[in-house]
Amino acid sequence: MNKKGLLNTNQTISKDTSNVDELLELVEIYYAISKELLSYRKEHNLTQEELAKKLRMNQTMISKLESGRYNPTFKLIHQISRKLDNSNKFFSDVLLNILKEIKNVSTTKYTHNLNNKNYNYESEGNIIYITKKYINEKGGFNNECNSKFTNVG
Amino acid sequence: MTKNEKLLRMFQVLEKNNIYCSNSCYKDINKIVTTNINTFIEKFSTDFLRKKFEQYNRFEKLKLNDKQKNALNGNSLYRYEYRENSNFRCIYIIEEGENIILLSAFNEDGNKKAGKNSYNDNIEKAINIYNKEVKDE
Repeated sequence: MNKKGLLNTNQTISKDTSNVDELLELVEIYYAISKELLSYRKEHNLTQEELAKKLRMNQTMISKLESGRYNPTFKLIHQISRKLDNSNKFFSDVLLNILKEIKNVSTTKYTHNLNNKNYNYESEGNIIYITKKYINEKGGFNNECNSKFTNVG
Repeated sequence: MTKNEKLLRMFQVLEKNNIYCSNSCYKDINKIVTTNINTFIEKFSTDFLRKKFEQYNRFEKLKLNDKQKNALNGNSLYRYEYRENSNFRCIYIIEEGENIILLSAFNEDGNKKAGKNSYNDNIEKAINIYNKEVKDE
């Protein structure tokens, strides 16, 4: 696309005095949560009703969460995480999404080979987030693992 | 913060998610949205961010004739309906399967017949904007 015809958003904006920044950050946070839930549902080929049944909620709540217009508590997100796959993966993915949305953090993808299996991770700076698989088969994630990471872009 | 700056701030957020606004559409929005700016920003950005993920009925693919389809090189036009006590509509295009480009915005006339005509006029306007200002040369 021809950027000349598009709005130039790289303009200086005066200090916010009307909470628009706060409002937009909230929009981004709710979107980060709804995106993760939608992603899970699509990945597992579930309808809203089926996901609602799994989470022991009604379909209306799923719809609200996916709409990006609902303000869930941390407790609710944590409960969802536990019910989805009995772990905190969903919860940590939501937090990572929120970080990406409001901090505009770019992540680097790494792949790591352990016991002839490839595990994929995303990292922000020096912090490694395990986003796809856990490597705790041998009891933990340590500095030795760090040295075996290959940057794949 | 002026209205202009508030809208610009909204588009800074949307652009991070591959949603762009043409200069023409920005002028349209600035002209049409005169009250409840914060509400508009919240609802519009929530709707468009969500649009990136799933279809739902505020967004509709527009029916184009053959001439219009040719003019868009196979891309489709869509119409967004803002539903907060207003008849604000927005026409946009999806390019390369992921970039959403807002082309024009207008108020839909309450009269059905006139509304249909305003759509046709605005579709033509959106196509012109796309071809003259947005499309890669």
